[in-house]
Amino acid sequence: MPILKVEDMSLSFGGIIALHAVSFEVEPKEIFSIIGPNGAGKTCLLNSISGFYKPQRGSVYFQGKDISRVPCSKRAKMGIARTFQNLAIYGGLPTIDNILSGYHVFMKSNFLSCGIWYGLAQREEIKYRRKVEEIIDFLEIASIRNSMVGSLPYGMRKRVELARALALEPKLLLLDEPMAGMNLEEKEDMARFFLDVNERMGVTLLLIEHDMGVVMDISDRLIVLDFGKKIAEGPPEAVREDPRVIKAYLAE
Amino acid sequence: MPENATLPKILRDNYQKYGEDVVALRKKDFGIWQEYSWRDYYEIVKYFGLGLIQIGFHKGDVAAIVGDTDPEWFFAELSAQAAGGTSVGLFTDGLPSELEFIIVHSGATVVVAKDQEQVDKIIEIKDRIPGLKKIIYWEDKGIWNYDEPLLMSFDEVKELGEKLEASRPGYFEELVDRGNEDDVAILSYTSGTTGRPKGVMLTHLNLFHYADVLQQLGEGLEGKDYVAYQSPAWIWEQWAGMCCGLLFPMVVHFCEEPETVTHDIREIAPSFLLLGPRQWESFASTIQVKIRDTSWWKRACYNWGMGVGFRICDLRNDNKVPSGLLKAKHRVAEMIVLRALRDRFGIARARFLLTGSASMSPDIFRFFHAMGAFIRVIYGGTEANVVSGTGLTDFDFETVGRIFPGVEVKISDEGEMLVRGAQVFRGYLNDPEATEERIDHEGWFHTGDAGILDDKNRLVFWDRLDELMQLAGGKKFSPQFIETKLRFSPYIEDAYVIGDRDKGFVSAIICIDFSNVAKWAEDRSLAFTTFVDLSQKPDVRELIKGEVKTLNDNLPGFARIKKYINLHKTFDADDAELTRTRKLKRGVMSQRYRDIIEATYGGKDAFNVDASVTYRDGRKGVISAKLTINDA
Repeated sequence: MPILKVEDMSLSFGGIIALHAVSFEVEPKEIFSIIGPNGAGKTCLLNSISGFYKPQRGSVYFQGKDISRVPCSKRAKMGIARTFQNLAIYGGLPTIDNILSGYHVFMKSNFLSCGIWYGLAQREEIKYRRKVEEIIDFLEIASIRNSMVGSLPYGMRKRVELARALALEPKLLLLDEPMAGMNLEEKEDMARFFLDVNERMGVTLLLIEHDMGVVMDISDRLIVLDFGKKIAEGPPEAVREDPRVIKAYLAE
Repeated sequence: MPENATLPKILRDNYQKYGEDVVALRKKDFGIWQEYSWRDYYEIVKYFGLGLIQIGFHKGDVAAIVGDTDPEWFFAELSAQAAGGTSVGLFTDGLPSELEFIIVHSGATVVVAKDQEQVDKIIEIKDRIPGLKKIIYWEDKGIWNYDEPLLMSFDEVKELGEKLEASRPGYFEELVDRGNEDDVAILSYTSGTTGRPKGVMLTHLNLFHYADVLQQLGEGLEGKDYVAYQSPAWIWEQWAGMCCGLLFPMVVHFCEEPETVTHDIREIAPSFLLLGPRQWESFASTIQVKIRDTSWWKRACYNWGMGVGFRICDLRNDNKVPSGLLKAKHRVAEMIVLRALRDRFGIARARFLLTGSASMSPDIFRFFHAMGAFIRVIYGGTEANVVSGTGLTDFDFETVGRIFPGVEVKISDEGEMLVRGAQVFRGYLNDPEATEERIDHEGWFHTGDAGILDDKNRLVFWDRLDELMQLAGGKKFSPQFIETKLRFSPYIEDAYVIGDRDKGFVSAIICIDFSNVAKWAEDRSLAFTTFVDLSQKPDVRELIKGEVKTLNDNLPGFARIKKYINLHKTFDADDAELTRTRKLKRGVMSQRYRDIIEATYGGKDAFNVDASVTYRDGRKGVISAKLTINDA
């Protein structure tokens, strides 16, 4: 059973058609990418899967269940996490607290017990703090554990954002241009972490990229969007050779 | 010291004495200092050692170890020794070809490697290692999917050992009893400033010498905290972390990651800290640069406090007593500046701060002593072992202190220091010729270091004998002495000083400290693109000129630097310009920079380079730049 199934999805803003009858399936434990030139509708597609946009037509199935009517926050609890193209982290908080905030959806203690840090609140924080440390170890960010995230270099902030997404203990992780604006070394580091997350934690990755380079190397399968339409699907080698893809990227 | 002691025997004694009650090691993991008691320490060594035997590691075999400084490093070494074998440490940044040379030369049949990075290197060369039995790793990250039959995890080996213990109880203790103090405990490969590295055979007795000496200095480090931060492939960490850790014993701490070291040291505030001269130098530049960056008020406090510290320090060195007023000022300075500075660097509780190996600039000593951090120097090397060291009362930054008891030192007619005693190494592995060359028939080891004994019977170390240079006028000078002084400047990372008999004057090739100079340039709104560009900016050349001038003012006329060039890159061990412990390889340098040197002495004012550089992954590239030759 595919972990994610998108069926006949169409989205338009007024007269502008962002997505036109897009369908695809993502298998569990796969690294699946969506590529395409600027304005092809990649982020729209991702926002529709995470529930941020409401497509006019089509459905999204997560682990066989139709989630088209499920709101964003519930989808996160079901195991769909995401990162953003423009970082969305708390610059004024240290790395630890940023990651801990990802666990917020699992915590049961209330405002009052957290305020006096007693009983359940204390036990919960200790439990989740340990989990945070495991993620820190996994992503090799021990040296910035207590640094304010706002003062970190861009590549590190991206890594903190990934860490927080992992704190949601996702089954499916949506990554929106995670390597945009990075230099080659940072990209390679990031690619290695994606592979680790995928292999070790068994998380299915859905990656959006504008740049073909690194994505082609790590993806199992990918689809190519152009002006809201799916123009190709398959393993990277096949897609790379596809004349329609070459045309979309190089134009006439 | 017990009779016929070996490292595993000492470990067992500690286990019997302290058991579970006393902490032996701490390793920071998941943000918390995780503790190992002496019982844990002993049992891990025991089961891992038995496991090694199960995979075919026999008496006389060699285990190579490569990885960051972790408890597993120590476990692996002691296990190999307990099983009747020897260990050899490798530096983590070594290229596969360098690792291959040492592994093959030492005859290692088991490689214990920390993580994916090291394991990949060993897998790359595995077909060229004769009789390789297993590659054992202790961090599985990224190795999960490897399909390599030689691979085995640290825990799997330990489990094999537990099974052997069940079928042959008492066997491990028997093995430990069989060890002798004269057995070769480790092979330590010399950094090789000249030629291929040589395998120095060191017995348990050799290794204990250092701890013995420290005990005689009466430091009372028993039960105190120590941070193991150097690689145990470096002999000084073997002496301090491994041997003193077991013998005194001390609580040895292991940092979380190489990047968190400064932070971790501050958390522990160790009583004993060993850093290489280059690390003390970088500590000093960090302080100087940060102070330049801070608010004027803090800077004023710092300047005043350190000023008082310098005055006290100089008086103490001249054996003079400071006036009452100065003493009072010093107490205030101590309260508001000096103690805070020491705390910032995690040396607030330190009783024993040490530098070893290469020489360190007197300026650095003075800097730290003024701060109240009494760094001491111990002079020694892998083969000769530690020879002399400075005490607290008779400190003089120009000497390397008094000769330790049991060590004999003689200065040969050529001015070379010769060393004799039980602490001297047993010879080079598989190289009797080289051994004979260095140890003469009377048992004197030829250190290759030039020096003298001063009137107070303290040893003065000048330089390596073959590096001591003679100018055309016949005057002798030590390029290393000038280089260490240049490196005291926060803007200079490295320097190579030239001026041999056929040259008329002294010149220098200087590598700017990129981060500090870049910061300096930013503060002055000076635009630059790359390292090459920054190094050749007229303003930067002026900056370096100022630094060279300050140095020249303190040098005798004939040793002053007349010309210098800012190099387009930094010296790099991957280019074989430095050893892995960051000492200059002059032979290589004089070849590589021959054209620059010729241009300097040929009276040219600029030089165009097309230099080849080797990248981390072994690829080669070319840099072209125009370097200006500056008059100092």
